[in-house]
Amino acid sequence: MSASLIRHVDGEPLLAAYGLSVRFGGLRAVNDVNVGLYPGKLLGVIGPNGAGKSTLINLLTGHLRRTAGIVQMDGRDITYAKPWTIAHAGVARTFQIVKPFRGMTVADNVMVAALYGPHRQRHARAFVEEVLDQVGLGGKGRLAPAELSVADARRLELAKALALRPRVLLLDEVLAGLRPAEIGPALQLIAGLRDQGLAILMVEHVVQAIAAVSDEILVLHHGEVLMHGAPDTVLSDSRVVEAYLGTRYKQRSTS
Amino acid sequence: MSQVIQSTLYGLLKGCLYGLVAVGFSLVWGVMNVVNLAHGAFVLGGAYLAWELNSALGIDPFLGMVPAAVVLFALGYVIQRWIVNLVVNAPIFITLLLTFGLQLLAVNALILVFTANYRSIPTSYAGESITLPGDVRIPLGRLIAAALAVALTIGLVYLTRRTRTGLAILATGMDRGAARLMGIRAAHVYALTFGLAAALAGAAGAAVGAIGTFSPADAGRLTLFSFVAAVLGGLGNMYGALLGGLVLGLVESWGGQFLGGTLVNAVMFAVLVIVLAVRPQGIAGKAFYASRVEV
Amino acid sequence: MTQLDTAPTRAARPAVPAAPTRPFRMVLPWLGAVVALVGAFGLQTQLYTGQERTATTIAMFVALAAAWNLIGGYTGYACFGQVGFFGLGGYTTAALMTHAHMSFWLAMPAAALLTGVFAAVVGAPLLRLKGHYFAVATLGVAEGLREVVINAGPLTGGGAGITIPTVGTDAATPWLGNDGFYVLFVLIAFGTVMLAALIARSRAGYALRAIHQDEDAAASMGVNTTVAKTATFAVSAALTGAVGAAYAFQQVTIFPERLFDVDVTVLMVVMVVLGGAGTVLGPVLGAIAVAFVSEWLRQHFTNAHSFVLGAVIIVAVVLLPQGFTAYVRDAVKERRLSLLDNVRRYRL
Repeated sequence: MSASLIRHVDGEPLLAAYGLSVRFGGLRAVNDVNVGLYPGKLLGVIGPNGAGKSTLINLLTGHLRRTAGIVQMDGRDITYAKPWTIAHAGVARTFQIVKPFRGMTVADNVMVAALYGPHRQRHARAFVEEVLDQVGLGGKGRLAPAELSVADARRLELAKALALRPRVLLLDEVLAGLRPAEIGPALQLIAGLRDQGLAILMVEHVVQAIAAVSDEILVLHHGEVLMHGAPDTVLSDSRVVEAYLGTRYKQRSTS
Repeated sequence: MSQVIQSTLYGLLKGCLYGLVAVGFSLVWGVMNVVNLAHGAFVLGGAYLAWELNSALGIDPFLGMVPAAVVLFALGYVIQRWIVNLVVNAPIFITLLLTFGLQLLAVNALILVFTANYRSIPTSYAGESITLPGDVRIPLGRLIAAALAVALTIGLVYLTRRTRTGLAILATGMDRGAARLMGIRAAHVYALTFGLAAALAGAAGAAVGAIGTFSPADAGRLTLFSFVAAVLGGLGNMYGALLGGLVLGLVESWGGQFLGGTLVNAVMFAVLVIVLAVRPQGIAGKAFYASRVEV
Repeated sequence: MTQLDTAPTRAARPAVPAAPTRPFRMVLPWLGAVVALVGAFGLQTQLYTGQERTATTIAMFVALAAAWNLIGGYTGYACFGQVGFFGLGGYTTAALMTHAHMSFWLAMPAAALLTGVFAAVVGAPLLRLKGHYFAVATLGVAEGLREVVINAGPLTGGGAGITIPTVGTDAATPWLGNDGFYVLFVLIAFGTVMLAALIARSRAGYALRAIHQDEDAAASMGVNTTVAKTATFAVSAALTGAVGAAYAFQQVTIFPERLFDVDVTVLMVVMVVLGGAGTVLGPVLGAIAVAFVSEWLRQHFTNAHSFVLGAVIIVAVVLLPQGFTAYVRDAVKERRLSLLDNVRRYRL
């Protein structure tokens, strides 16, 4: 796989991984993956189930220990860093299955990040309100996470990440479970964050959504990078179609 | 040298019995994520039952293992179905407290009825021993107990892997929600599992009574031994629990031989803590239920 | 690591804001604490010696419960070896006072410090464990400590016990007397509860609660979970060690079976759980209630009191698993008083 990634941006990537691999026994869940995230650019990551997308995020954020490869943030090696160190370096993530702090209110959920993130907030309560407004949860601070709808639960997950005021944002299937009408506003929010200069990696299944918002797409299959490039190129590539939809489909569509 | 062989043999024989006690404990923990602090009390229950049968009807304690198992099975089933099931979904220290309360109840009930005196179930043959070359003695009673223990363990493994009920138990242990969706009545299965564990504990108790002395005060120690053996062997792994029991028996025997005093217990706890710190999945290998889904 | 999100399927308990914002509510607990302290001292003049000793024991358990609550209630790491710290603190004090003729007022902080450091060292590997593993690993540590004490004859008196010199020229500190110990334990209880309240209301409180509810998420949000857990464990242990120190001095002669009695840990846990884990008031109420019940049972059912205690624990745990304070709070909020709701919530 080529080590040069996004060709049209100069400078080093903000968050970069080279040769990242992890093995579980005999299974190579992620194998020799290179990733580069740049400020103001959104990298979409797609791939069939089990392709290693969430595993990739876990590797980048220190939740999983890699078998090979390095991860760097701002040129500093963070391969063995603990999740909190990585958070302090400016990397935030959401979890595929949302992980709210159930016994705490929505506001307190975000408060944890406000108090323990890299930029410890002096006026935490006001800051938390601000973040909640930013994601569209304004006024819902006193609710319990269990009382939130699916869309709001995802917003909370995002709010917790944004409260770290990160420079890199890793989103793990943040659109899953949303109704079609809810996807649009969510994409707008994310695109807005990208335009503000965040470097975003977005794992997603909803292909049209990812096509609309990505600057570049990375396709994972069986833990390896199948292809990466501009959205149009990648999504019309026959290998990608085959990986997602199967050889029979490909045969049928080419016969 | 024969000292070493002798204590090794003693350790292994005793260890089989510890293994039997631990197997049920490990099964319950692996399937239901319940650490039954009253497990030792079940063992004693079996011992006292066998003692009663022996003194009232003259029934041999090894034969007494059968009624002990049956009665303890029923008791375990009822306790699980109508008491422990009430807190299965609660945080773990709730179940720990509940089983601790059960242990207090059971042990003190035994003390009230039988007093705290040590007793045993004498038989005519248990004291006899087979003498091997090198002046190594194998007491007959311990040999029978160990053999029965291993047999019961094998029986349990067969039960869980080859029968419908056993498979239901394993399935419920791995994914309760999915098992229920397939028509398995989880509450009943849990009760069966608990009952099985209690039955094995009761049988082990009868054997313990046959080969040595017992009193209600032993309950806590037996529970702790089960825990150590289960952890050493890997959770839910029944042969592993047997192995863990053997290790415990050996440590106890060698320790008693060469260390003296109660330092043996300290060593055992040190082993436990070290194993937990270094290799939580136990000596025997993979965690049996790596990711449990509970609905 | 896959977990099903079960929030929509099970009735959830309402969440509570971590720290109240309105001024009166912020001040109220501190006022209440001062009132309680004054009340405790006032009570002393009304009690007979026997009652005073019971009250002293209750104060001791309040302190123990509050200390356990830090690691077990807030952080969610159920330590079942807490009595090990109790005994370690007690025996360290006894050894220092007997062999080094140290004053109690030096020995107690020294013992607390030693216990805290011990916990930090032991906690480093153990706090990587979760749930049952952590519970019984700590139990193993406590049992191991007891065995070490029993076998360290010259230093600790072994199984025969050790006696702290409290009278005459050998005694660095004279025995405080029943009244003195009452005051000491009440102050320790007050201090422990106040410290716990401070921690709970502070930034650290957020971290501990977050760790309890989702350690991975907390870590991704910048919480150094290792430091937080270890520090809490050490503080909890040090406080427990201090209580043990005071207990040892009060008892004068101590034995390993008493200072490392597993039942003490369980009593602590029961008190916190029944009172309400993860709250400030919970351990206090739980300690007072359970200690009362235990004493009452001891007096009325001398033979069978453990038996009845076991039954009481079972019933209480089934009906009130979230603890009394949470039950009251929920009942007030939702106007629902049924205890059976708990059973429905947690049963299979």
